Amino acid sequence: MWAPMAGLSPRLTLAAFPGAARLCLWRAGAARWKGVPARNRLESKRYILSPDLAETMVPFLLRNDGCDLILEINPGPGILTRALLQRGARVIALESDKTFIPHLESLGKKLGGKLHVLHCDFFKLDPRSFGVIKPVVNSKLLFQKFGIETLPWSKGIPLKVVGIFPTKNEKKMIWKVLHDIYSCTSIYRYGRVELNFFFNELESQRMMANPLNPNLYYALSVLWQVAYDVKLLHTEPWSSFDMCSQSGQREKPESKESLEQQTQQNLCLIQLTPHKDLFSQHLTSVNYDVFFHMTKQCFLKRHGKLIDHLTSLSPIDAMDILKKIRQDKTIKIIDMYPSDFKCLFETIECSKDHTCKWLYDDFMEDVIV
Amino acid sequence: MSALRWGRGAAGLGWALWPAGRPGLLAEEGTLGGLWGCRRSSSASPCEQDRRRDWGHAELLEVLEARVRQLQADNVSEMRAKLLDVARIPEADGSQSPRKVEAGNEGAALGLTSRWAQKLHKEKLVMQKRKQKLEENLQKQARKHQLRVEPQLLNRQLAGWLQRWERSTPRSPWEEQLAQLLQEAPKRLSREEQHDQANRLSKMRYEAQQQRLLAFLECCVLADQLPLAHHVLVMHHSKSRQQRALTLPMYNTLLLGWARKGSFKELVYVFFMMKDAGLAPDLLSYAAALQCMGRLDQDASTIQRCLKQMAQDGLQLQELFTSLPLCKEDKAVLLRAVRKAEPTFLPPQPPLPSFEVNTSPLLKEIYSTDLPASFPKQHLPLETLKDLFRQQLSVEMATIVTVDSVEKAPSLTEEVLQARKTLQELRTRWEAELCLALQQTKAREAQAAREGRPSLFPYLCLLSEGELTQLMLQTLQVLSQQGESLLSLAQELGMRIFNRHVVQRKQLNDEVQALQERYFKYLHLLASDTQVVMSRLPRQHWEALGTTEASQDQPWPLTVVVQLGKQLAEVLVQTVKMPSNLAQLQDTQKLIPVLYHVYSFQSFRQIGILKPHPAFIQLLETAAERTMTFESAEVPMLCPPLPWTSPHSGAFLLSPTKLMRSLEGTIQHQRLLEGCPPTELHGALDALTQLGNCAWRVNGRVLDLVLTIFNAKGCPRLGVPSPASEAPRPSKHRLPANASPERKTELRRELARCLKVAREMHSLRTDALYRLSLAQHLRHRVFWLPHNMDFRGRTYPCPPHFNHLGSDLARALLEFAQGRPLGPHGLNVAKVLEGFISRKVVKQTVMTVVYGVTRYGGRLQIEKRLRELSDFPQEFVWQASHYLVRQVFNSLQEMFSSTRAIQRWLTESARLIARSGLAVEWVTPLGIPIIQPYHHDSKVSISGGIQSLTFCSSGDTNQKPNTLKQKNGFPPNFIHSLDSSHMMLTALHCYRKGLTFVSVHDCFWTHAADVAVMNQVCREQFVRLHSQPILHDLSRFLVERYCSGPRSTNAQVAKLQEMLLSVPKTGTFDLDQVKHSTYFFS
Repeated sequence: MWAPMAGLSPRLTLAAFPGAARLCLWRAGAARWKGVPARNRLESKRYILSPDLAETMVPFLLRNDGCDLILEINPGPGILTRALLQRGARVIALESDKTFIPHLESLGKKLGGKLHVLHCDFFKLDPRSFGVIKPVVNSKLLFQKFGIETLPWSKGIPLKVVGIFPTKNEKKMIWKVLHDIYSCTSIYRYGRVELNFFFNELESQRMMANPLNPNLYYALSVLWQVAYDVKLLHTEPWSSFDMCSQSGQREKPESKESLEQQTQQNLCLIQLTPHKDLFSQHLTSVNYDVFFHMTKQCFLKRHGKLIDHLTSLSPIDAMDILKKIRQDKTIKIIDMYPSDFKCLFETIECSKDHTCKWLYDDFMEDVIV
Repeated sequence: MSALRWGRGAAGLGWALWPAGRPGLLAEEGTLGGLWGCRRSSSASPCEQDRRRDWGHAELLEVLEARVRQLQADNVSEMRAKLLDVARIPEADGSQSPRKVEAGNEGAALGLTSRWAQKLHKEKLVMQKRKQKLEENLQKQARKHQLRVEPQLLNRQLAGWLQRWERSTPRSPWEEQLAQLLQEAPKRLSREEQHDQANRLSKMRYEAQQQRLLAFLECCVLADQLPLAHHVLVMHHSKSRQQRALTLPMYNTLLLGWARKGSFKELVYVFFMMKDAGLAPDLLSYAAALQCMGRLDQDASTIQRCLKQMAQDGLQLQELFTSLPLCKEDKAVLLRAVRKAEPTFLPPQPPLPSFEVNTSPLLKEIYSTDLPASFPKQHLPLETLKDLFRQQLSVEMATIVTVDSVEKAPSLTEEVLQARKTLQELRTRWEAELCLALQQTKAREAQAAREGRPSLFPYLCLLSEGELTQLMLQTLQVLSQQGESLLSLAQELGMRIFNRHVVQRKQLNDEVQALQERYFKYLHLLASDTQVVMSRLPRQHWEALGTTEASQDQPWPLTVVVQLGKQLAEVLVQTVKMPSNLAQLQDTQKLIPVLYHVYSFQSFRQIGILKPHPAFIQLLETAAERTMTFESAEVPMLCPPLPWTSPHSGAFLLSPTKLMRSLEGTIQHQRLLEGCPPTELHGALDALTQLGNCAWRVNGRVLDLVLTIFNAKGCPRLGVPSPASEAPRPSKHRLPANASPERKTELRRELARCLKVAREMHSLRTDALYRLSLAQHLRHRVFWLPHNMDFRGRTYPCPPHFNHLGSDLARALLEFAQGRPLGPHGLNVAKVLEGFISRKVVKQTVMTVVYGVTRYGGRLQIEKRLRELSDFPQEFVWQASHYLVRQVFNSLQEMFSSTRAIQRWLTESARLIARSGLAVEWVTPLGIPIIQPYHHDSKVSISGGIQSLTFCSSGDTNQKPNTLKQKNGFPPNFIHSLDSSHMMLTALHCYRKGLTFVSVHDCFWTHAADVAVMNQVCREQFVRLHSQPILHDLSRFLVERYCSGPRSTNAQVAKLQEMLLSVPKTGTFDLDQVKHSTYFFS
């Protein structure tokens, strides 16, 4: 019933959907969210609306690896929540939109108490601005409440997070997640938390890029891949997440192109499992910012040679470093794999004879995201 | 230093303070010769790119370059760049095939150095054979690169005329040609606009280009590079597209230059070009022609013809002497020429300084002639003041002041002496190397200019290489450990060059002598032992003693300033090197750069930073040289400042100072000030002059006390900052290797916090160090603090480091030079208000609500205050601040409803004005014109070199106004401008009563004995100022400025007019109460 729809043009889909959407809503037992005011199209929230998609996702999340605690971000109508609960998972739902809360709560009651619902925005948890924060966005208090235990980094996965990555402030959010994992703060205080997020297609291609697809290869690709095992699980067309097109309400798009661009894009479900060996003797949660800086500076001139970059990264002799990491002096930034960057960093960091290893200084970065 | 990364070491934790002189790891240099130092990677010189292409070429180029250097010895240094080009030509052609094979086998060749040696030898032979050819080529090139003198005209008829006349023998005289040219001159002053208004961006770029070209030509004339300027003009003129960019002022610049040199031939060539371009000569062109004739002593008939033609063109002879910015000598020659033709001609006398008087009702008493003018005199006799003037003059001619630091001198251990010696040796070496590098840069730039590319050549010629080198070494000396952004460094360097150049020019033009004479006469008014017959204020007296010459030094375009600074910074980065191991200075050692170009990432921007090598900072610290260098305009003056007479003349004797300070590149304030009638500014000029005339001295006892505390690690509680070494340190014990990630994160935060504190302490300490060192330097001296104002009219002392602005410490160090005993009311000064702490929490917010602070900002302010209270339970800060800000806003809404109405009216008016595409302007009750410099950012980028720089300026009037800033800024700026008017009025009236008076914004000072009088004046003036129909005046001004003329038909403008006319009612506050209020000024 869903499959052929995906291929239809937006307009046709619209015409075909109202009935189906309502049907699936009744099945899910929720009609309230129809009352949610439609926002600006580009900012409109996306939710997992298709039960089939939910069914596809469940095996990825529950795979008998000893962790059945799922943190679902903005479940909205709760279609995935329902599927997860039915398979016996424990779910904590963090919903930022108040309208959905009563519905989710009733869903929890119906399905036997394994669901905790909380009105809270996951992406505003633990802001990095060290100032006074609202208690509700303090992950420490939050996790205490649910009795989530800390697992050592080398051990298993304490918690799985699933949701759709926001398009608004996307870059900022990506940096926040990266800072959190490299510094072991926020949710990573509790161990190797696994993330399962829908990203837009371009961003997910960038996440997985390496020298083989140089056009998409960026500093972020390196940082993602050094920290996580990045796995593409599933691709789903954008339209199946859009509440407005699903329910038949539609405002006049601001511009045709942006709408079409967005509708034609897919969302990719990416699984991000933190590497057990992310931290080593030389790359730690104390000095990771130097690693960030090094990577960013290298990618400022992506086609430049490494040897040229080294002179403005470290006062240590560039040839010497190249010899140690066994790289040719003609190697370009674009030719280096993510693991090479980590190796480069550790080599410089462990060089013994130098009292000053980096030209980097703390003030040069504004780490507050 | 300790601020270096603390997190490192085997476990990635702990720290190490890095010991001095520890040997660095020396790597084998491989094929990368010392000559090529690894630092040059990002330079964009042509040979550099070749190196990147492959190593074979790099090797070869080295040989070639060595050869070039040999050749260079026989040639002038300027030829070098050209030589390099020539040397590279053979490389490109096919005869060099062996080299290409080598390049292909690079891997193998690298291993076999002996093979390389053989090949190099072969190359050398080839080179020798080519030597002959090369030098021939060179001569050919040189001929080709001769500067062009003859113009290439686009108009065929005119070109034929020029050619016929060039070939004719004997040539008809130049003056004939000129007369003919002038006679048939087109009657057009400027080109018609060829740009459609729609393409605003490209038009702006085009105008910026024109501005740069004009500045280039003017600078060439100043730097005595007239032939080059002529060449560039001819080059541009010969291409029809480039010719369109040439403007009349550009041709005039050249005309004037040639006229001063008396080169009639080139002058006529320029006239030919002007005619070809279809531009009619204006007054300045005629002045140039006449001047040239005067210098060549032409006969009367020629000059007569020229004058006649001028009259036919509708230009007045008199105006030659009144409306042109010519220097004295130019005018004298001009007069000589005119007299030849008309022996009876009398130049119009310079208009006598206008004794027109400001008519503002607020200033009526000040300028009334009923009573003699009154102002506080200096307490020093004439001869002392004269001597002080000489001292100040010599300081400003030297451009820099060297001051001993007040930091404790180190004990002269072996280590310290060694470090000083090393530093000295390095500096000597750098000086020579920098000079050489500058020569090379100049040669490159000269070549660029010859080829018609944009070039910095004339700017680099303004100061000698030695001076530029000193400037660069000074920059290196003060660079902080964290480095400085390349952009600000470049801008500062560029501005320093400009300022120095202005000072030098004043010296060359004999302005110094004239200044001294005038100043000595002026002193009769101020000195304690002399009298002047006429009763005048200092400014009036100064104006009566002579005319102020129009400023001849136009500021350079900001892009030029930055480009020039960037060029020098690049030279510095590429040239300055030190041995990798500073402990032993040997020639064989590998050299490493002293400066590194690194990037910083701040949110989504990348900022290029120049950072010194930590070892160099260490060396500086060990050497502990206890001297610091200041620009002469950063130090208080040793004699009374020049009175302010115009928007650009006053304050320092030679260093250029602006009446209204503004960000570099914002010119609208200056334009507005110059455009308004001189009398309007009298109030501001007199107030600023008088504020600057207050003599100061250092309070020695306080200084002694502060110095004792300062050198005993400071005391932040007393306002004496501690050194950064006193900063809190992270806990010392090492973390176990298996420490939890959370623990490590905590440590990271702790480290970051400590670093931040250390940095803040360092900057506070440096600020205090400058202040105290200057105080020590000026101890036992009398000095003056010249004043200027910001764009809202608030007054500030010009010297930035040592003045009465700032903390209690800063004020305590200063006292009036002319002491007077404490009067009966003196005790009141020491009175301290009580219940301060509880008020302090909300005071800032209450005060800033008037200035339009938002609820969010208010909460932050209160939060900060609450945090400062040590006994406040910190976990309630968030809730408490929310509660308080709500309370404050609610109660304020009730209290100040009429104030809020006024504020709303101001905001709305500003919004409508900005929306109509104009910046908000107004005039203060004292007559100072004000314009808000808030526009959308204009981005200018300068590419090439080590980094492309992009700078944003929000003051560019070509951009649309920034509505948000214009509307939010208007209420506070308007109130500030009223406050400043009040301050100036109080000041002027105090002077009228003979009081000494200084102020810091809303805090007024006088002698303790005079406090009662000042208090009274202050209240009276407040009442008088606010009895004026201020808002109605404002409304009238705004309506006239924005709603008249062709604009008035617009519907938007009609709406604006309606808004402007609906002036809100002022409150029912009884102003007379102010006179009796105890706490009005506290």
